[in-house]
Amino acid sequence: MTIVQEQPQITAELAKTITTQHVVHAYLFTGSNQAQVQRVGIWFMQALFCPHAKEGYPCLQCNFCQRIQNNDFPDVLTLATDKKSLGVDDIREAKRELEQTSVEASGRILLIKQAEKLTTSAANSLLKFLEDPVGKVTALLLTKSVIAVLPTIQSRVQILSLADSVDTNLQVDLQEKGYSDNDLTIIQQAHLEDELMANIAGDKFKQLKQVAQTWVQQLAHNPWQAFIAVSTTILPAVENRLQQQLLLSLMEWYFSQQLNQAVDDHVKLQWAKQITMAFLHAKQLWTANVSLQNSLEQLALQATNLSKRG
Amino acid sequence: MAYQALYRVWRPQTFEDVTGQSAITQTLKNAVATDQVSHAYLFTGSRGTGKTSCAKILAKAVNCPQQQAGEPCNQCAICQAINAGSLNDVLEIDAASNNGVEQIRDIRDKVKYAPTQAEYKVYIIDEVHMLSTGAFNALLKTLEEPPAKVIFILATTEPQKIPATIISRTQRFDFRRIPTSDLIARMEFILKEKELDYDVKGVQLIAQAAQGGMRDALSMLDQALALDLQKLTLANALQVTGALDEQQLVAYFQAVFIKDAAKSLQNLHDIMNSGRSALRFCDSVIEVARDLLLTKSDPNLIDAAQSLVLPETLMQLQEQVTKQQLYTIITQVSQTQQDLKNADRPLIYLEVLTVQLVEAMQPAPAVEGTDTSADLQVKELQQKITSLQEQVTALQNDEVKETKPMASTTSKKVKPAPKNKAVHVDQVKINQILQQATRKALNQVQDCWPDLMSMLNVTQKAVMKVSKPVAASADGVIVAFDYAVWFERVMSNQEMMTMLKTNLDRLLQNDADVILVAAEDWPKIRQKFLQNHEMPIAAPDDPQEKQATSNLVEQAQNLFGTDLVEVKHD
Repeated sequence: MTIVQEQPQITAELAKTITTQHVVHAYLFTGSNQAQVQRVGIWFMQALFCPHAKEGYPCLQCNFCQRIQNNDFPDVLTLATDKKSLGVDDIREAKRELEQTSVEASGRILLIKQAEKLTTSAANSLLKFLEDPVGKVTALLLTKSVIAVLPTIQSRVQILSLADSVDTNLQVDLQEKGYSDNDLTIIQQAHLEDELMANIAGDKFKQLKQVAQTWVQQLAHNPWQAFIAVSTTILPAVENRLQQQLLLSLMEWYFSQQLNQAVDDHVKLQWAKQITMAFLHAKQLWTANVSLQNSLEQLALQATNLSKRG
Repeated sequence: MAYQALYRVWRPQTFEDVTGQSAITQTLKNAVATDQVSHAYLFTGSRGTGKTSCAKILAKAVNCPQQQAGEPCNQCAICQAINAGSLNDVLEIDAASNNGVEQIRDIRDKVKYAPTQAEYKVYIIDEVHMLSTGAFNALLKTLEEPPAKVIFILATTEPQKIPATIISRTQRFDFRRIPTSDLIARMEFILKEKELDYDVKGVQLIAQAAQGGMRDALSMLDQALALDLQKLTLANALQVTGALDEQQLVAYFQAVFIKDAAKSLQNLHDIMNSGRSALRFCDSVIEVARDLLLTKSDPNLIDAAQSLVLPETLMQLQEQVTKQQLYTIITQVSQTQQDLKNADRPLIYLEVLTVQLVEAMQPAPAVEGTDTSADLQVKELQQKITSLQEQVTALQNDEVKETKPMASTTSKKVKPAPKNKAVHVDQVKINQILQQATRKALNQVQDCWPDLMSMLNVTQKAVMKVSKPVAASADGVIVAFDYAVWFERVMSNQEMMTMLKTNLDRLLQNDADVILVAAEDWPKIRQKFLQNHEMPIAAPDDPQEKQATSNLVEQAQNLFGTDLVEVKHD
């Protein structure tokens, strides 16, 4: 299934701006599924440069389209990082390069993946560039959350958000890796697509899902047991930070389920709310580099306090 | 890519064009017209309020040879060159990428050269808050006294990051958010210029969502127009701003107000599934809560605040909430808004928020008295109090049992009495000591007391700090303790007692025992001794003796002067 079929609305809008020549100099694409956002980004670049485009839709066959797809096109400058942040030096270098005129196409494109990773100074040094780029440059920012982007950047770009849709490519891919249909539904509902970009095998996913589910239940019924389970079952199950991320996202999903199921019982709802808030706090701690063990153990201790009071 | 965004095309070119900042533009115009332009300006204000535009216009106005009443002509070669960004004497510097000391030094070096084409050399330093501290300080001297014909214009969205020393050297202008009515007027003007049809409600909606930023408004307008080139429709405006459908919002609020958690969560999911952004959702909830609050306070306020008129159905809801509840709603939503910044998936935060809001709607605990958290706390506290009371009575009973035998009979039964015993034993010895006690001995002991203290270790010293010798004879020293607790403790500490004795004996070179008493008991003990022995003691003697010596001393002092006479107590 192509990206046009998956995201008919946004691609139609973009195609229209191309045919009516209303393409502005800066866009921000946002959506919960990073892989999909990137594919829209690539599709838009192909649409801009493809010499055989029909009504704004690229042919996807020609030399240009192929090379853009393979990230091998000289007039597209991609900024992406595996590190935690994109710094001001990367931006400076990019700006210097973009001052040169295009080699093959009619203009140049700056593609920034995961724009939420831009540091404050990097984002600030983009401001002037985004407002008045020198020459024919189109900036394309991709991010999973608009809020994480500087407000002064937001006001300089056109923000397009992707509708939620099934990422069939990912599903096929995951099925091959041995994910069950049941798992796929959870993945789709909980928006776990981003976490799964990092090759996690089907069995591992199943294991993590099991661990997350039992732990969330334990927390409700026997918090002390849950405290111990952190070091006995959770820690052995996760191998790296990506898996930790997946585990926490799964837990988040189960907490959310718990909250939604408790709506009819006032006391239960109260508890579900408090434990979910505690969990969100623990997750924030984890994001701020507190170890998984510490954040979860603290959560378990809080749960014991909560159940004592209840 | 020939198309230019609306906000770039419609960037104001004269002071007259700048919307919503009449006070500032008038001041600048007057300054230019009367030739009183300062050498340094600081423009601050939130995004899209016209800081950079004003800076550029000012640069043109001071340099334009044909300026009229402070406005640039935009016709002459210089104005055109500045518009194109090609005039050497107007430098626009992006402080965010050139934020080091090196770059500022570069400016400082070049500032000395006179302008080449224009009359003034203008430095526009945009995003100036990103300069490093070193860079700011390097700029200070230049900013205070630049060479003639140089103007600095600093622009920033975050004035709180600018050092006070910079602010005090500049003329500061605060650009306020552009009122919604001005945004609407400007957008309508642009739409008319472009000869496009528009829906008034759509324009209003965009203006509302722009929150006082012209650039935001024009960006959104641009985007909405890209969807439909002929007409700005309300539907497109809704889509672009991500604003909530009124009906959805009303349904959500109704569910919250009737405290139906299940239904409000359902409504929340509906809203989020229709592709609304979490942030907009929070904004809308706060706006509605604010409007309800205003209507409750005074219905006329709403018009003054220029908000979009709430639908009637929502207005009727105001009966169901108290002001206090609305305050709680607003605080909790804005708290969640903060949290959302770090969230990967906003939905769970909004779910928690919804449950919180439903809870906030619960009436005060006194009325229903079921399970609200405050109620729980009260219960808990009550329980605690009763258990404490029980403990206290239990303790009292115990005490009565304990004290009875002590008070009535001195039987051997319950003896918590190292104290009693010690005092009893002491009495004989004390009497012995007191019989032979002399002032001299006491003075001796008092003299060497500090030495004794210094022989003890820190903890012992701390204990003995509350004690002092009160009486002494050749074979004994009585030491009184200020607090009975310490006294008992030292008494029971055999090691310390021997240590005190041996050390004291070494200092005094005799074989004196150390007897401890509590200071509060001391007068009683002495009284007892005096009654028993009926003998003249040292104390009454002392004054006479003292008087005699003091007479002698006085005479001696008269003879030799105070400096030479050393009074020695024997």
